[in-house]
Amino acid sequence: MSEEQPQKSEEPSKKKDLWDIMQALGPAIIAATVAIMGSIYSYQQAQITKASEMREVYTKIMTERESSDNSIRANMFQMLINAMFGKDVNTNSNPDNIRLIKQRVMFLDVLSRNFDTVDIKPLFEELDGELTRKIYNDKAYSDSAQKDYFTMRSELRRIGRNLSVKQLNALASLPGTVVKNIVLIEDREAKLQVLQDDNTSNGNYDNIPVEIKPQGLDDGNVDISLEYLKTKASDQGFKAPSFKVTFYDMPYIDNSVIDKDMRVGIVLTKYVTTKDLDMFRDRLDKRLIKDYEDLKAGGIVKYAEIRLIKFPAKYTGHRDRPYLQEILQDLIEEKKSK
Amino acid sequence: MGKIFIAIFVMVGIFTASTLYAANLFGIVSDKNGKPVATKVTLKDAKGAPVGDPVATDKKGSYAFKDIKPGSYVVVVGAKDERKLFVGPGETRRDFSLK
Repeated sequence: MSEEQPQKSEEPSKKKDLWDIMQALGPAIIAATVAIMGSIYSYQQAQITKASEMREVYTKIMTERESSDNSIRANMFQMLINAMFGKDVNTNSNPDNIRLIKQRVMFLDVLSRNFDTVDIKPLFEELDGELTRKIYNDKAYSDSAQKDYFTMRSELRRIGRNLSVKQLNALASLPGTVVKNIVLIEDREAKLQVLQDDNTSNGNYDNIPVEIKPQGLDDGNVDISLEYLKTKASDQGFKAPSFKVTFYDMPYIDNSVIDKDMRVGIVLTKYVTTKDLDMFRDRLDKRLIKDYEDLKAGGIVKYAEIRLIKFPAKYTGHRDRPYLQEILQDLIEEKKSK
Repeated sequence: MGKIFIAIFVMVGIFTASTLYAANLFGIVSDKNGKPVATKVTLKDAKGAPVGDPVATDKKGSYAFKDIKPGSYVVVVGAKDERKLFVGPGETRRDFSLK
């Protein structure tokens, strides 16, 4: 009897390679990857939703704030206009009353501080003209009343000048603007002289291509014409536009097109007449008396300083002025492109 | 006693002289890139005679001439950069940029 030799029962176990491991773990890896991706996606979606909600809340707050701000400003504007043109001011009281004039000056101050892009120049000029008529009307008013009116007009002019210079400085700080200072003098023979600085501001030698022709200086009104040199060269029949400049000309609003995409504004910064030195010496700024006396001794009867500003049209116009954000965006892009 | 009177007289003279005019000329000197420049600024009258001593600009490029008589002047920035201008009553600001 022979016994069958036991067969080799099994082949030696094959060592598992990476592929086998991958095969075994594959479904688990896929499941884990899907789970992770899903979590990431969910997290991202949650973040996007959260950001979107935040934007909505922010927009809502901004809109509400803008709306309430507009409402407050509208009420304030209405209240100030009513106060200026209300019954108390115009009918029940004497319009020569210095207290009422003080009130009107104060209302204009508040208006100009809060609504600097609203054109309130006519209100200023109307009161300035009214005060000027009172100041130099010897027959109707006492010396003391005339002096009070003079003080009120000086205050009104200070308010107007502060506002216009504030706008001029804001524009002058932006790239592409040029400011030129011009002095106008009238002597005893009523001869007008224009003295222009050699220099322009803003670190460049870019000039403003206009010729200033003075027409007259009269109680805070500077009458000039601006001859645009390029137009003059190309059109001999061209008549230069004339401007009456007062302390209430605001460059944001009162400006003219001068060149492609450029505008020019004029601001009156100083006006002195030596007539006031004799009439209202005690109401003038004490520190400036000697300066005024010196002008008078030099034969100067009227003295005015104006500033001419040339600036890109995109900065201006209360009706067509772009939003500040757009200006900033333009400036950022310009800087990037350089 | 005499010395005291002289001292008072001199003091009053100095005080009066310094309060004669309120006209001031001031401003900033910068280079073409707008950076402040350390330089000397000289003021001359319309006939070319120096008015006071030249002043040096500070760290911010500021210069100032105080208590000067209103009128036409020439400002010399640095060695020979001359600019004509008129100084009016009160404060006059003029900024200069070097070429």
